[in-house]
Amino acid sequence: MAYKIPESPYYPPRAKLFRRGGCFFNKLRFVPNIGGFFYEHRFVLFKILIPGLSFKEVKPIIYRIILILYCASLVGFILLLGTGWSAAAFSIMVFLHSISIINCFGSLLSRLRVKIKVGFAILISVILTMFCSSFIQILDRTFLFPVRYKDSKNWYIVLSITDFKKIEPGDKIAYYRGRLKVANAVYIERGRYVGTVIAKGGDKIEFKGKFIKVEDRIYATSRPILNINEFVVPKNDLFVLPDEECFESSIFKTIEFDIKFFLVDENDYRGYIPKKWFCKRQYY
Amino acid sequence: MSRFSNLEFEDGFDSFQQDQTLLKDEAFYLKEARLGFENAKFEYALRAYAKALEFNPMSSVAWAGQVQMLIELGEYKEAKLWAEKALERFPNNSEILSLKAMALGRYGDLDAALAYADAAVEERGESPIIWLARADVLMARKEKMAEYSIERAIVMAPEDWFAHWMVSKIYYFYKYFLKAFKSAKKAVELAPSVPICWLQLGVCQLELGMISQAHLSFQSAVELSPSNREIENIIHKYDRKHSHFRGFLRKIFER
Repeated sequence: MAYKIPESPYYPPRAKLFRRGGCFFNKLRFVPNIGGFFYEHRFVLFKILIPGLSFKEVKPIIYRIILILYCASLVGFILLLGTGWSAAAFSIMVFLHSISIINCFGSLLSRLRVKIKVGFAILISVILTMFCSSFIQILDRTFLFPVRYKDSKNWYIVLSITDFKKIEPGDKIAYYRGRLKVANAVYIERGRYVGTVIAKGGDKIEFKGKFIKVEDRIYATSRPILNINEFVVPKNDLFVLPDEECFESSIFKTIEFDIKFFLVDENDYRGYIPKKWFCKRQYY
Repeated sequence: MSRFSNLEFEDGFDSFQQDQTLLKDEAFYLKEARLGFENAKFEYALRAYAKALEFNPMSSVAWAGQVQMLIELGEYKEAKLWAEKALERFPNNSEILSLKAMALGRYGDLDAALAYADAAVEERGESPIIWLARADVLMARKEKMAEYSIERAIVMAPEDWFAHWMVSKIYYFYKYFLKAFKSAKKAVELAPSVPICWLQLGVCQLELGMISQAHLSFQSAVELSPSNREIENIIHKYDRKHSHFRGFLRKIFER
């Protein structure tokens, strides 16, 4: 019968790393020595979350390089949001996270073949990418983060955090529309739209052909959009003129719009579009 | 349920001392630990040293052995922690001071490591580990005095295989493979029946590209300690580094 040395209180507490999963990994012959991985389980989460931290104890220089690269990529990602460079910066961030996580689990993977390791790295990258996109979506719903919206032509950075009540005429906003009947037998599909606010709740709007007059401001459209002369915007609503391409669509060229098409309430509001996002001018 | 009931260190492994009539006391476990170390079973040796400490918590040999096993397992942070625990009981023990210096040096705290190494030398102990730990720290700091420390260690115990093996380990760790090879060879000459010496020799030969000689050295280690999972693991570790070596490993382990 195999002999086991009985337990001793003087055995270093790293023994607990063998209690959960240790035997399993030993049987799989993943590693002869699991190292301090489970022992330092409290820090594993930080090692996963903070890029490069898993290198800190082994190669501090790599930790610093990864952290600097990550911060630079993060800044690049935010500054260049909406451009191809931003996507590249995001990829670098995901890559740095992946190598950091792989290093964190390195001791468990040390016996695996290179091909399996590469596969594992790709898997982590995919999971991270999916996680990050869902993370941005969650933030989008909770209005915390600049998110890109797409209309038919342009990408915009939308500051979801900006308060609905602070929106002034002349600002561009992103808003949501459910499937809406805009005229007889004509519906717009649900989705995100971008438009210019031309009047706030309580403002009186006058329609004169292709021109819309709101107090002392005058806006021009490619064709008459409403068959009425005057309209007072309901309180708590914004009167939003959707971007031009909405009107250029062949189906919308001839129809008479319902007034509901132009009204945006707080529930439909998705965020304010700043005129300039760092070096990128979004609209004039 | 026992705290260690799920531990599985040695599948199908019997103790080194087969005699059932032997009293399992401090001496038994210290000997088990020593044999475990010689057979590259560092985890087993660590456990044996811990058990010896349970019988005699004032055994400086067991404390030092425990710290050394942690260093061998590459757990420098834990080694530092347990060296501190040992120093609470033996604040002037040169061997433990030097082992803490070694753990700190490997961990990257080179200034503290040198301070402990100097303190260990000042205690004027008789173990070569004092000078070896100092050499380890100086080598980490890339100082030329490291060679002198190694010479001092060898002068203290010229016929001790452990000193030569340790020198080889230090040289190997800092990638001086030729010097590591020479010391490992000397260790094998002094103790041809100790598997760990053959293992170290094989590892050095492998790094120097002496593949066929490395085969023989590993074969000797496996013959001296058959079905030893730890030796198998160490050889597998180098298998990854030298993929052309795989055929030979299959021959050894699949027969």
